[in-house]
Amino acid sequence: MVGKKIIGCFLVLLTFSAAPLFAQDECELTLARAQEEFNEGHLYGIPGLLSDCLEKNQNTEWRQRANLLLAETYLLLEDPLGAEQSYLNVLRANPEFLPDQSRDPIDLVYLSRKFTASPIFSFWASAGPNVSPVRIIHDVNIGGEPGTKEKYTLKMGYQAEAGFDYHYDEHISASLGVTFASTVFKHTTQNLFGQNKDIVEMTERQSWISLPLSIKYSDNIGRIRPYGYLGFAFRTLLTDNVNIKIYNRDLKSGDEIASSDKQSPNLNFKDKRQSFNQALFVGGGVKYKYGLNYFFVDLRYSLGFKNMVNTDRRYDDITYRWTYVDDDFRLDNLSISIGYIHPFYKARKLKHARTKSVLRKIKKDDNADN
Amino acid sequence: MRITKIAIVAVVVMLLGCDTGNRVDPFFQDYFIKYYGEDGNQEGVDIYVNDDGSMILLGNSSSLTELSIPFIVKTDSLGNVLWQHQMGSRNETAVDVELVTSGTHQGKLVVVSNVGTDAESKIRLTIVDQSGKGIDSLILPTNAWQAVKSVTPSSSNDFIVSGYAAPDPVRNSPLSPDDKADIISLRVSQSLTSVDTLSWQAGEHEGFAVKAFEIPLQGEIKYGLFGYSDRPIDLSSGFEDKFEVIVVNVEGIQSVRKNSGQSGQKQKASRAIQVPASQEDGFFMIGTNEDGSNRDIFVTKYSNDLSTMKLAQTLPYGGKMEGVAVASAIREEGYFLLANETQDNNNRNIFLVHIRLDGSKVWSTTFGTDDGDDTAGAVAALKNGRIAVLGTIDLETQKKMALIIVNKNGGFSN
Repeated sequence: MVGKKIIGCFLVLLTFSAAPLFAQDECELTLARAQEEFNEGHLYGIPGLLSDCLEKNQNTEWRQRANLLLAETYLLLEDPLGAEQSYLNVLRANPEFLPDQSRDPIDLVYLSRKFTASPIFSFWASAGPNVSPVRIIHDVNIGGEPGTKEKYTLKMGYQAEAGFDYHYDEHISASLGVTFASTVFKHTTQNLFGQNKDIVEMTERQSWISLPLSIKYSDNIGRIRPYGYLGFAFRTLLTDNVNIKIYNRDLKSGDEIASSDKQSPNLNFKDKRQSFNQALFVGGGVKYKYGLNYFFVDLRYSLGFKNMVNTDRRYDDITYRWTYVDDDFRLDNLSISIGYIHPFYKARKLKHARTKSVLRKIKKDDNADN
Repeated sequence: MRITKIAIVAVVVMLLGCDTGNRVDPFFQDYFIKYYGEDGNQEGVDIYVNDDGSMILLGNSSSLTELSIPFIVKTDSLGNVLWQHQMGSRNETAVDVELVTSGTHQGKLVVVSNVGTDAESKIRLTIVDQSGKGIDSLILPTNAWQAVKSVTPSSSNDFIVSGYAAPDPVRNSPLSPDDKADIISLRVSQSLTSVDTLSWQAGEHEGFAVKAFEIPLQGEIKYGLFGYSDRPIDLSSGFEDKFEVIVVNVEGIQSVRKNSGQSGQKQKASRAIQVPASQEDGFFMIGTNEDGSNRDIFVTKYSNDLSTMKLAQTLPYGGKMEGVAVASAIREEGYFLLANETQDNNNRNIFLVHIRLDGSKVWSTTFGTDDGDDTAGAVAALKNGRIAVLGTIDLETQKKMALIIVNKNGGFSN
């Protein structure tokens, strides 16, 4: 008894789940009949023949073919409004559809030049690692001895970014984003208070929110599309934490060095930094077309514009305890990101139709016929 | 095209706003904190500024192997080390450095230091040239315990050494068990071949001559010994520390003794300076007023001939203050006073205050943190209005001699 009920339920489910497939097959048959009618020149019945399926069939490939047939039908029926509406529906089904000049009727090609579905806006998001090179404006020493050496070392941070592109045309776009970045670098002082003596290591971890604004030039053909851009970013420092490690190295006996080491807790350096900064950046990468969307790899170098140091707070309690003083410096950033682009395609009629090339071809064909 | 032009203009405008070496003022070259030292701990005690702006920093170094040994540094006007080295011997503590202004060692430096321990202490004079080379030195021969506070090169090409000695039983007969010190002033020839006693005071239980100055009085060169003692002011007074000036002639014959202070409280002098004409001439003393557990800076200003005393007052700035050093301002009116400010945890900070000629405060600032015991050494006003403070900063792992140079308002920028 129970087994029969299960089999019954299974059959009901199968019936409902298979219903769209049956509908699809039915619409395919309808479209085939419409194509036959079109081929035989029975044009007036085609819109009515397809109307039911156009209302219920959501298969984009089918809708593209059906609307294309309708557009061609309306062109032959000399109904330009119907043709334009049908072609818009073609682009809504497939934003990247372009008629083939060698295969499709020239009047359809001409019609297609009045429309576009290229995106006006694209959303993108990316993430990846970065390093922050320090460019010194003024070298400031905590020790008075000339033998004291200082250096900066790159440490890896990360960033996540999202934003929108406004497409001015197929190549040029303006991009506005918001970036969260964590940057890290290390400053080392050596030979403090004597050759091969004290070492002070300062590791600084910052977090930033940036608003990058850029102008981008992109290739628009092919599966792999390179691009490059130039932009400007406004940056706000959110947090700035520093760890300082002191290696107090004194001569013990003979050439033996005894080191008394001490590491600081997290020291808040936010007050010792300029909270607002700007950067000029240049970058580029490649987009990989995946369906209607893109994956991309991006490499960017940002040139910090402003001195990072709040010079009014250069000397404070940190100086009195941790044997450290800031240089005046600008902070650059080199980042590599992997991201995803989702274009918002919008099928629309162009204000200025790009029909000149089609007209030239028609003229050329006419001349060849004569 | 238009968008390209806008982008180019925007980039140029932005590049013009970039901070470069020319656009960021290098205030740190003029106003800074720099540390000096070597292995172990180094404490800063005195500074001398040469006419060319270079500075002599005097301190003492101590480590596991050295209890104390003088450490001397010469820097340029930006605080960069020109030379530095230890000098003297183990268990030696330098206290004062001065320029030799005349005689065979003119232009060289004379350093005084205390050699020995609590049980036995002697005074050493060392002459060093401006390249750091030791020229000569002498431990002053004595059978008594002696300690020095300062040295003054005299116009007669001698060195006047000021300090104190263990009480002389002959001069203090009968010797009180409370008697711990006699103020002394010794005269040493510049060739370091002769030493004689300019003045050996008695009658005080404790005291210290902190500085001697030549004072022309009644057409005669005399020496004013500035310091403090607990010598009773009159027959009805008890032993109580007061600022003291004793004037003796070249033979050591005393002509004047003056005191300043507040009855019922102790005033101990630590430094005295000769005030230039731009600050109304005279002599300025700084020290500490002790009132029970309270400590405040105490100052006294004497006229050139010691006939008038303009200031003799406690300067209450809150907290526990120990007056350490003073410098006459050069471009401003008044004086820069340097003190140790004791915190609740008994650690000290360096306290710098600018006062006008009438003693009123212009501004004050502190250097150091509560976590470290940071101490003042000396202060000097520089010709361009900057102020140089030499002290000791108690860093996380060691103490280091610190040169702190601030602007006329005590800050690190213009």
